[in-house]
Amino acid sequence: MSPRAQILQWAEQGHVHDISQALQLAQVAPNREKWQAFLSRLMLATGTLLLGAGIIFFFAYNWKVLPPFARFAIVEILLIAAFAFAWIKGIETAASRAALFFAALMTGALFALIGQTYQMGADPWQLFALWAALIVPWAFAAQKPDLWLLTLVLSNVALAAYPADLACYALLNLAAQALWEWFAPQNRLAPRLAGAATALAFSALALAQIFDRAQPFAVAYLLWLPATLVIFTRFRRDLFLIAAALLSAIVAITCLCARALFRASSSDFIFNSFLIAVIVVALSAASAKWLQHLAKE
Amino acid sequence: MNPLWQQLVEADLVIGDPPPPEPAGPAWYVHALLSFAAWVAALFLTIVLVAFFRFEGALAIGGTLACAAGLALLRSPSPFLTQLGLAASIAGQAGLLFGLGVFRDFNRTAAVMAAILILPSLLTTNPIYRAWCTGASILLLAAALEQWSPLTIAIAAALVTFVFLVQPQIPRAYGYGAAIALVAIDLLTHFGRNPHPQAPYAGGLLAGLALVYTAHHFFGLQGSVYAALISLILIPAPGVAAALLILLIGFGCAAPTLTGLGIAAGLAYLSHFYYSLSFTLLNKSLVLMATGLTLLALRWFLFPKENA
Repeated sequence: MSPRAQILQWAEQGHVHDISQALQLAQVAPNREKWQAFLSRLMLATGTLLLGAGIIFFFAYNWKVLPPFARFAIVEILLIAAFAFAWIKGIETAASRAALFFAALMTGALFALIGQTYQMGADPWQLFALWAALIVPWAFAAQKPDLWLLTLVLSNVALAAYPADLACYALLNLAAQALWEWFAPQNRLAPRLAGAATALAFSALALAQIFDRAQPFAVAYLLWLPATLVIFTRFRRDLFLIAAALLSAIVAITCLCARALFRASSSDFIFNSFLIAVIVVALSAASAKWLQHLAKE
Repeated sequence: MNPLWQQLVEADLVIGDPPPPEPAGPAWYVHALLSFAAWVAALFLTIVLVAFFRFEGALAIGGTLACAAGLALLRSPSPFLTQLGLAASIAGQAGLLFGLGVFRDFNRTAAVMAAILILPSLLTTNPIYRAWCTGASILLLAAALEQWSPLTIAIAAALVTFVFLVQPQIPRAYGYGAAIALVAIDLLTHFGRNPHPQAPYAGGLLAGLALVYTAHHFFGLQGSVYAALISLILIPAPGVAAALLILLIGFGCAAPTLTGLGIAAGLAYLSHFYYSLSFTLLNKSLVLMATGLTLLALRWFLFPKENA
């Protein structure tokens, strides 16, 4: 058990007088240096994100007081200034990577502004797809997951705006997860987020198959689920991704049972509902027990 | 003797021998899986309750009985029975809500139910159930207050700060429930039945006050002055102040789940703040740009070494 979990357990049992001090003593709660590093990162990340979002909101307002020339000048100057900052400071610093992220946001603002000003008749999915494609080289340059995650989010939004088939979401997120697992498995945040998106997409595929037999997704789901469980149990232990796959399985099995039970006998409505509740409870309790068992190994 | 216990004894933070070791609790994602599954099972059990007890009075009694049975099952060591207890208790609460007449008098019933939920949350040691009852109670109160729902931000923010900072002996599950409610209240305000709250600035002001208190707790007077400055700018965007509050408490109290919730809440709020009807896009953009610039300037001023 980690020192943090141990102290919290003792505190809940009423043994620790001052939890904050105990956490500090065990070096679990942050000291001055850790606070400084955290606040610096928080202010940089939040400041960059809010400033970028504020500028995008500003151009979305379509303020007529500003002529088109001034609007383009503002966005382009900000874009170039962010690039210049990252170039001069070198990509190793957190401020430079934040500047590159800001530049990526401004690229989207520029495309939106072009669409707003010239009304070219382009579809929204093209804006998001082009935006995602253009920031890929910067993501390579930054060598951190934040710009890759932005690329993945924009690609998903482009698919949603198209609107694409469910299988496209599953393939896109699965490919992103596989690439992360292959090239940068050390930082678990990005592959976990991509893995959660993959689980969501494959769950949607399973539901589509269950409620619309014409959809040919059962094979894809039945390949993905055991593969995920085997890979993250045996080869690269990641309980979060196992939990995501198990949750997906619970949803799929519940929907399958609900469909079968309610179609077979609509008269036993109360009994069928109770039976499904018991199935969900049993599956989730077994999943939690297995996850706890894996955590102890 | 456990070296950590020995360290705490030497610092006079604990007395005597260490208690017998107990297995560690599940990780947050196991709690999330169990919560989601219990909620789905509770939906089906609610159908059973409503179909079985067809009249309001009977449904209220049936709901109370299911809730009591669920609370009893939560004490069981069996994972299956515990999970069944969780689902039965949540379904019982839903049955009680319908039985009390939520469709006849929504506001009164929601307010009564919000008060009732405090009792089962105190009668159990199950962390998921504690968090559920706390969050549901605050959200029901917010729903009952309708246009004045931003005022419940004060209750949620105060409970989070109280549990994590003022009285950390209180189980953290109550704080997690209040934090989830704090994030959800704003969504309820914008996407609920009344997208035009009576006091649009109240939520931001109250979340800001909690942020100032938290900054004072961790950094003293100087921190509270900076937090007050940021909170003032953020009054029209209460979700950002709430997310910052949750982030700070999560990091300072070594609660990474809370830190993650703060980040997710901030991103979710930004994406739906765009559609908020209380302010024009121009006002919203000015608030966000001013906050962003203030945070970047503060970082430049406070951490000059980081900029070198």
